[in-house]
Amino acid sequence: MPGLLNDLRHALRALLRARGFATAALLALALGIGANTAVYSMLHTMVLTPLPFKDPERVMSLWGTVTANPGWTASLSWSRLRDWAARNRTFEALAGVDSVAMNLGGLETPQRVQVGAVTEGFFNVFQVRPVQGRTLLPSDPEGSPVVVLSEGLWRRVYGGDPALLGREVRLNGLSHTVVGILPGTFAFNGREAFVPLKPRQAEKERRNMNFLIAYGRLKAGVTLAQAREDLATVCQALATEQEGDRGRGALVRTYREDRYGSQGSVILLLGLAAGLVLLIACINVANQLLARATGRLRDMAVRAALGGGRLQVIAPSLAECLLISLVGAAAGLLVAHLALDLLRPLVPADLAQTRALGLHLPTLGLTLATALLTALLCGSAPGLLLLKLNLAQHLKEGSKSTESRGRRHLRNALVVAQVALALMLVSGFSAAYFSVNKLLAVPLGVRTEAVQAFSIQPSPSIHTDEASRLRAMRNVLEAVRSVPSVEQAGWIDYMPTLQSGRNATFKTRGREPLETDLAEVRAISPEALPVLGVPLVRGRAFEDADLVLNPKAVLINAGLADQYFPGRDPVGQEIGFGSDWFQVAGVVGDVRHSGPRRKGLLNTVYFPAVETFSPQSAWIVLRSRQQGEALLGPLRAAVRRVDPDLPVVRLQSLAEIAGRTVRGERVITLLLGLFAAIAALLALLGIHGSLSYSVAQRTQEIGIRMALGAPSGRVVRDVVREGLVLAGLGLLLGIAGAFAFSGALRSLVFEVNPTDPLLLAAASAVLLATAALACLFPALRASRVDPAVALRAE
Amino acid sequence: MTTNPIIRLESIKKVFTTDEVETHALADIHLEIREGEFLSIAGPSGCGKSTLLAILGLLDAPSGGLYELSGKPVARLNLSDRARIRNREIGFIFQSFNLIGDLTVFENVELPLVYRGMPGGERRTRVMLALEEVGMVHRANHLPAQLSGGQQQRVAVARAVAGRPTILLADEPTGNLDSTNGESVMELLKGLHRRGSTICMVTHDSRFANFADRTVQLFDGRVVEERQGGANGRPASAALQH
Repeated sequence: MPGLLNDLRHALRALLRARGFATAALLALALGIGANTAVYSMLHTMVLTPLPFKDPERVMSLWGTVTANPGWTASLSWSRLRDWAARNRTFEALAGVDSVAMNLGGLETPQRVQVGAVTEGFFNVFQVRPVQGRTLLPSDPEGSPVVVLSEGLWRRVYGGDPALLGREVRLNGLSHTVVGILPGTFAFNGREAFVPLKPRQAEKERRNMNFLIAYGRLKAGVTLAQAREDLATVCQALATEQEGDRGRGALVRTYREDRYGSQGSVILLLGLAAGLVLLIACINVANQLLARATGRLRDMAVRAALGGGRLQVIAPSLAECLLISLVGAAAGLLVAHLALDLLRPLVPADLAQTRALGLHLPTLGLTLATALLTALLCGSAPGLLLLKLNLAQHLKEGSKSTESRGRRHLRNALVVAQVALALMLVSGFSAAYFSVNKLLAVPLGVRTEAVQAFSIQPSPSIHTDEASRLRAMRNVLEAVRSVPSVEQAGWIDYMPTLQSGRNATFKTRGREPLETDLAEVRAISPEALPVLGVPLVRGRAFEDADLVLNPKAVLINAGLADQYFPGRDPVGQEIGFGSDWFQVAGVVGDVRHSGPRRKGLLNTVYFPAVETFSPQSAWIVLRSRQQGEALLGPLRAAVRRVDPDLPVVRLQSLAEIAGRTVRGERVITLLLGLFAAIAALLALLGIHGSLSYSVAQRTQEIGIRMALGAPSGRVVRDVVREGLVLAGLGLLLGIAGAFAFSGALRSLVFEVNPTDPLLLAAASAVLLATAALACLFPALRASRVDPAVALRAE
Repeated sequence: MTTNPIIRLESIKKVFTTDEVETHALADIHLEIREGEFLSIAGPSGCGKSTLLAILGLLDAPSGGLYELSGKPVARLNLSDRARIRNREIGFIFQSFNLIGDLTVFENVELPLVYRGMPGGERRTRVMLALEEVGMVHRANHLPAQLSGGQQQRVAVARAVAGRPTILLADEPTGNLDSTNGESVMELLKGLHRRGSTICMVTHDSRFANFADRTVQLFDGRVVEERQGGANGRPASAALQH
């Protein structure tokens, strides 16, 4: 230990004297270690943190499937879930959740909260121990006015009042008794309160009105395969009994895979990228240490001559590297802390609530381990010199620390490796960048410019029936239109681009219905589509005459019209849902309801928002001369006049809402861009450092050449050529590496081939230009060698 | 002078092979160095003096022959055993001092003792004694770059003797010094010899070769002459009076 401390003390002294080297090495390792620490923090939060309920590996997500449409999954209808729950033999509990936003009233400022309306048995699936009171019980009847709050909501809104238990709170204007408080770690998909589900009659009756996300808890000892087999049997039996279940199956996945499975590929990609950055940093530092050690060969020889063992002889280099790595790790923590802000949007909110993304103890441990491993890897590089150290030669008077051919090859190989690894990252970033651009260029089918929206939900306590609720929404819409700056306003039940809504199977006359005949179903006010810029392609739009109790007119999208009424005028054709038939009044443009990446269902049937199709909540969409905060005040005032309990929480532009669909891709691209920039910078430093060293070693040779008449241009050209040859070799290797790296990218990029020759050529060109820049300064320095001075030194 | 040989070489040869060219640096060297002896190895440039010293110091291995140090064969030892013997039995003094620039005078002298695993307190005592012996205590905290050539070589001598080795090997110890500093360093070596140290010194300077008890003359890798006294055949005592 005293020896180590001595070595560290000497290393500190030496590094303080070699500030240039120390700074460059520190920077490289801080960036490399920082990037890895940040990604590991993400991994720790998203993969290694246990889910916050009992035996999480037994909790499954359940989806409906359609045999004729592989890969397509749907939520479950109330009756199908009921049948699955009754007939299966492998789950001890099955439950469904309908996620709704509700108004939390009885407060100074009404709040909008995300609520899970759950079927009985939900808390038998998610066995969460409440911090106060109880959870919902199967004995709580459907729609009974009880609520379980999340700890977050309890603290945020009620200041953690311990007396809240047993008291009443107002949800959507209805009194609900608070029966329990859930622990803060249980963040179920952002839901802040749970109430017993009260399905509407239509929801109970329609076999394919899918609105419940289903979950189940496996019986102890039951495997996933057994559960899948069991539910497949249940589905087969139901298919023989229920017409609506024909050709339908079940998909069972673990809850973790279902909720966060797609994040795995993101973590893998970012982990690989961060690992590459650290590898480049290590190679960079190792190369610098190697050059530094070559300059100190005589010191190493002296230490060996005095009886130092191998480890003792390279101890100074190891100590320097250990010091740089530890300080680099400390600086890396700062880098990671900053990087975590960038990573935060990639972590699902509920997981972040279970364990906030941050620098936890295991992360710090891993950072320390990374630093030590880095020190060992980089610090051992000088040990290579020992293998062929000729003591007698290096201790001789006049011996110079010149570089052997083998060492020069090693140094060059390290530069080539840096360029190759950098190309993998730069090409990866290029693929991600073009992918985001392609995503942004996908036509969503709606106009995102100058359209603003906010969500609204009339209080069911005041508006107890659908007619009253619809009236309330119309009143809100009128109030919004009364705001002077508002030019046009309408409403729609589900916001396009942000969310899929409800879907249902439909039929057309003269065609055998298939299970895949599914359409998104939307309820809209007549003005909604014009505000959203969805064009009328054929026929007519909704009119006031359509706003009757049992409307017969619907609008369909062009895709549906082309597919189901080919060669016919779709206007006037009929489309059926259950036993009801509707007439197509008009055809409108296609809309991507789930954003640009997911194709989702393009088939859409628009119903006029009347009593029969009135949703519980809706989005008001509007075009206005004012934006943002300037508009929010007048809007709030106008809505308050209609219903003082109705919150207008946030006004969002449609561009903002649409942009959210590619937010993850943008963050990944930004991170890959940062990693690629760091890699390119390190490769630049690597080439620059290596060439500078080479020029310094060859000063006398260059002097002799110049004395013999070599023009300085020739000297510049020779040095640049040396650098570019190394870069070229690196690029060739890097192209092979990019093919390997593309595996991690392929599932994340959109309509871009990560190994597209053009893309690789562009990335190579960028790095080649970087390499040329790195060569320039050593080349100019070489051209300024004074032959007289160089030869005198000889 | 005692009659116990510390070093015994029999038929030592050294061949360097580069690109299929064999260079015979040493051939058929027979040599004994006795305890307390001051031996000088002399000869023109390229005659193999430094190669012989490197073999004696276990910095290099002979291509053939027998080498015994303190009665034990050492020519075929592995690297770590050679390092251990260098550390405990041999003290080096180089022409170019070979002090480590990043370490202070004290730390340079301490280094072989650190490698030996000597406890800190004992190390400190030994280092200070050695520095006192060469008159460099006042410079203990200086870096080598802050010293003159003569002072650096004194520090190198202190480093060589601090571990109390069996033999001191000096390779042209005055080669990089002016005559005043050179003589001063030679006085230092002579003093050590007087106090019992065994010294083997390579030099091509006949003035300093005269300090030795015995001189071995090399030419083209062979011992061509061996005589008592310095290069001119004078005894060491006479050289001292010179």
